[in-house]
Amino acid sequence: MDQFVILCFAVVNSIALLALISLGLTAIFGMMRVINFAHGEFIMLGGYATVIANHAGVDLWLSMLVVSPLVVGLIGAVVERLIIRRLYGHLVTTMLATWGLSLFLIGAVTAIFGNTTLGVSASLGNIAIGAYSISAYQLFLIAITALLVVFSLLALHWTKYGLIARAAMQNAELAATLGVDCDRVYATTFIIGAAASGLAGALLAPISGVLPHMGAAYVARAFVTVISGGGALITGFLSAATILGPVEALLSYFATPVVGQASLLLLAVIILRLFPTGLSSLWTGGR
Amino acid sequence: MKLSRRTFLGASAAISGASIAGALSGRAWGASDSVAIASLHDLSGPLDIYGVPSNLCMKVAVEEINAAGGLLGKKVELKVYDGQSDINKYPQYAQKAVLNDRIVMVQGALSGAAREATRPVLRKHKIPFIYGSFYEGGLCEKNTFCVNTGGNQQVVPLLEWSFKNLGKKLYYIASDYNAPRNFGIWNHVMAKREGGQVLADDYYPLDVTDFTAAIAKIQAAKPDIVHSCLVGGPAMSFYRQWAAAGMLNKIPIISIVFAAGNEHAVLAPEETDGVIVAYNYFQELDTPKNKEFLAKVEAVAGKNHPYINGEVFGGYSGVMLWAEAVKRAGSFERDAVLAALESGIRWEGPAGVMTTDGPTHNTMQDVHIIKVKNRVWNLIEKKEQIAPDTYGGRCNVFTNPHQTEFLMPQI
Amino acid sequence: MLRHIKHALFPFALVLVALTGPFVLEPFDLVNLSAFSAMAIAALGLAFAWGTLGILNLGHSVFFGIGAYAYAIAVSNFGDSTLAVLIGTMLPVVFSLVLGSCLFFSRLGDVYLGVITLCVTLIFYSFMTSTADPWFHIGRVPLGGFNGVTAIPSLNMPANPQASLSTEATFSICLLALAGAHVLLSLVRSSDAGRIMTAIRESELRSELLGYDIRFYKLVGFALSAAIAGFGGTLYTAMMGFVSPSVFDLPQASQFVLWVIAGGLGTFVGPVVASFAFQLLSSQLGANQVFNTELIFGATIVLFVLLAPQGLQPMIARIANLKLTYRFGIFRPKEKAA
Repeated sequence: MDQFVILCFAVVNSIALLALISLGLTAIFGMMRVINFAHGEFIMLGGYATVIANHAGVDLWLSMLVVSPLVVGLIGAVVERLIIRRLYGHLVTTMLATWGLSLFLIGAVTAIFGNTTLGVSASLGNIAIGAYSISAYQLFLIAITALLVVFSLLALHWTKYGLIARAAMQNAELAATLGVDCDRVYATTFIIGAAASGLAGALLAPISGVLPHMGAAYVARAFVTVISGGGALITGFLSAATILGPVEALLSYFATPVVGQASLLLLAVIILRLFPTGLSSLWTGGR
Repeated sequence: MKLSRRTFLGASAAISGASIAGALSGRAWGASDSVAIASLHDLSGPLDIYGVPSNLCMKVAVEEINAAGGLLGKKVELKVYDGQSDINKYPQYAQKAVLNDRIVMVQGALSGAAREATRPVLRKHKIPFIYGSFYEGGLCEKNTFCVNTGGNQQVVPLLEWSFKNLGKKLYYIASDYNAPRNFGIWNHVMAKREGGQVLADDYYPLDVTDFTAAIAKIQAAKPDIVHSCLVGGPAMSFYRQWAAAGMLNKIPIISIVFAAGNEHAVLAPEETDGVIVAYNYFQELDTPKNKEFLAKVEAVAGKNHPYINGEVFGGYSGVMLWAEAVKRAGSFERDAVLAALESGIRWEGPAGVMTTDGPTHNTMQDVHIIKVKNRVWNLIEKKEQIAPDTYGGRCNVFTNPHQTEFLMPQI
Repeated sequence: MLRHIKHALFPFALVLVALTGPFVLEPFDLVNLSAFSAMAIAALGLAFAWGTLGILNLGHSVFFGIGAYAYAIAVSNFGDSTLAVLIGTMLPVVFSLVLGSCLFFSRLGDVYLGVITLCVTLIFYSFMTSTADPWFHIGRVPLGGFNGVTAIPSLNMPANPQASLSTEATFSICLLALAGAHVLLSLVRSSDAGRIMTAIRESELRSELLGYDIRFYKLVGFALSAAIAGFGGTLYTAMMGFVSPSVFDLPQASQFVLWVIAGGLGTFVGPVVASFAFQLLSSQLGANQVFNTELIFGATIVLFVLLAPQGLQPMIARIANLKLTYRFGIFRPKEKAA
């Protein structure tokens, strides 16, 4: 019985993790078809912002939930203005530019902060379940991710910005003729996406290592999740995470982690083979 | 924008032309009163946490030698190459060092894969390779000399102590690549010898960040000891999540790789207190020679220098042992230097006495079992002069001079 | 006629370098340039698949890696490099046919295809890194996990396994191979099949409506790119003397994509030049420790993109056209009919 509870927890945890790291990317890729290879680095910058703010004396929760998204959002604004703005619509060139950007950010962080920094720990204690114990912080993480997803769904469908953003996404020209400033919308979306990635990095900081290269572990999975999800912004990547996460978690537990990882990738391939425009084509009718 | 593109093209053509010219004519017109050795480490990329301090130790050694008048009347020059955590760079730079820059000794290539890629090149060009990282043991090649601890020199004393003091049931969790797998074999060897039991060998890929399933499996197995051979940034996730799940005070962790990446400094004390490791060298070692050494490190890199752990200390000891061999041989030639090393050089350094072992091409040295508290390492027990393993007599460059493959321990 | 001369210029230059290089350059540079050209050959494969055929193959490194490993295992088992090179070129073709028949028989968009191919190369990477156990072996050769396969013999004379080729000979062969690959792909591109492939890239729907079997042409093009990449992989392994799972990983896959984009999507000369330039830059940065390597590399790429978004070759071509048109007046483009 204990083992069953633990397994459930592991499954939910892996879904939440995939969702958390994909949230920022879905905004940027899903909305604007910008392949942001620097996505992992935005996550990394969020982690660093938290660590530095916390060591400078700011309260941990404040650093995680406020400082990091603000800082990374700001960096996102600068990046958007200087680089991305010129390359909208050029899929291939944005790939190159964001790839260069990711190298640059890693190099800059290493040059400024060196390659080892003190971490932060969020001691929330742990919960015992029979012979097992799980960390309370991870429960908090799951809760916050769920909150973020709900919040984004609401924002997308119930606010004015959400409406404009969806319009710009579906048909930019038509939206422009109706008076929507598409450049502004894109810029705002990029900033929000960056801020979300920064928040993800901040939330992950207490349970993972904060190093210049930590982004590499997240980038491939985030992409796979978002693209398997397909056109629908929030429900898309969420459904992908719900399918990919448990498979990886369970296979890692019962077989070896390599099998788990390979299965995640294999499953993504199968999903895309069956639904060429992603999972969400099931309910959006393809896009 | 045409003008700026044209200017850019012109400028970049000029720069690439110059760099190509520089690359193609990069001959080291070094003065004949200096001799060059190569430092081949990762100074950027994910593996730079090992490469940067190791390179620093080499620099400290070279400066010490030059301050004492050089080697055989010549000044020693350190040529530094950045492997950029890219294995393909290693044979490339090794060849550059040998062919272009007239290097007489190469040290570095810390990771197993880099080492395996570099060895054949140096063997082919007959340049001695000093290997300064601790490793799984079993490298008994004529052209290579290992100055840091091999598998048995770390695992045997550590497991001896652990099976005696912590319990008999061991759970092994490790990163999935060659060295941890070989260390894993030593676990089984020691378990058989000491009457212990290895409950499981759990290997994780290098980019796993979520260890929930791993921790659940360990909790289900209920071991007395957890032997962790996880490395890299994501491995820190394990220690964080382990502590967050409240396991740090319940089951002790022993390791032979922990702190090689300065995990104890990066993680909080409540995430690491109580971890026990075994190394030849650690920075808190209380000997006069170590104090001198650390003063020299500070002189080169300032007060905020990276922590010098057992992994990177080989940068210093390797160069010093090589220098002793050169002095004894009276020459920089490979065969003379290797013969000098094989004759058994006894050197007293910051980590105690080190004696090079001829037949195995490894080094006998002290091993310290240490425990961390509040980011500081404290000595629990010192094991003196642990000899390198002979692998049942197979590890012998005199009887097997053409051996180049790795030897595995027999269970 | 003029166009043919322009196209033949680049391979001719390569042949020239192949023949004169050994007398002018130092052994270290010969070794380096041989390795660079092996990589450039693989990049050509992607330049063809993506530029001519329009397949965004983000996992191109999988063919490179299969060719590399196939050569390593074959030559260490058989002792003769000729057969090994053949196997190294053909095995990726087989795999590409299998993969292609899965991929092209459903209407996958650009990015989705890219992600699937990326997943494939990452799956190979995951698998190869976990083969450290000696149980994983083919013939005499253990797969070696992270350490890979080492001490691989280099190329030898086709009939005589004992006579390994000298550095100079290998250099000439690599550059001649590069020239050959370029000529081959240019010929394919300008052939009828090549024109159909270009049409498919422009619009799949129209090509299909015109009666062409796009799946067949895509498969053929895909297989050709795989063969070229595998060939590059075998040459590279023969040069380096070792192969490790890093041939399958994300940085390697990104490198190929990067070179093709930087060189100019749709051209062949551009990616080759870009691959040499970037490899040289990375090599120089590491040997001259001034700044953090990644910082410089990243900044260079970003600057490059901002100033030359179309890539190297179009930029050079534009400059060349500009100068020649105004100075000599002979290469002026023909007047368009009304």
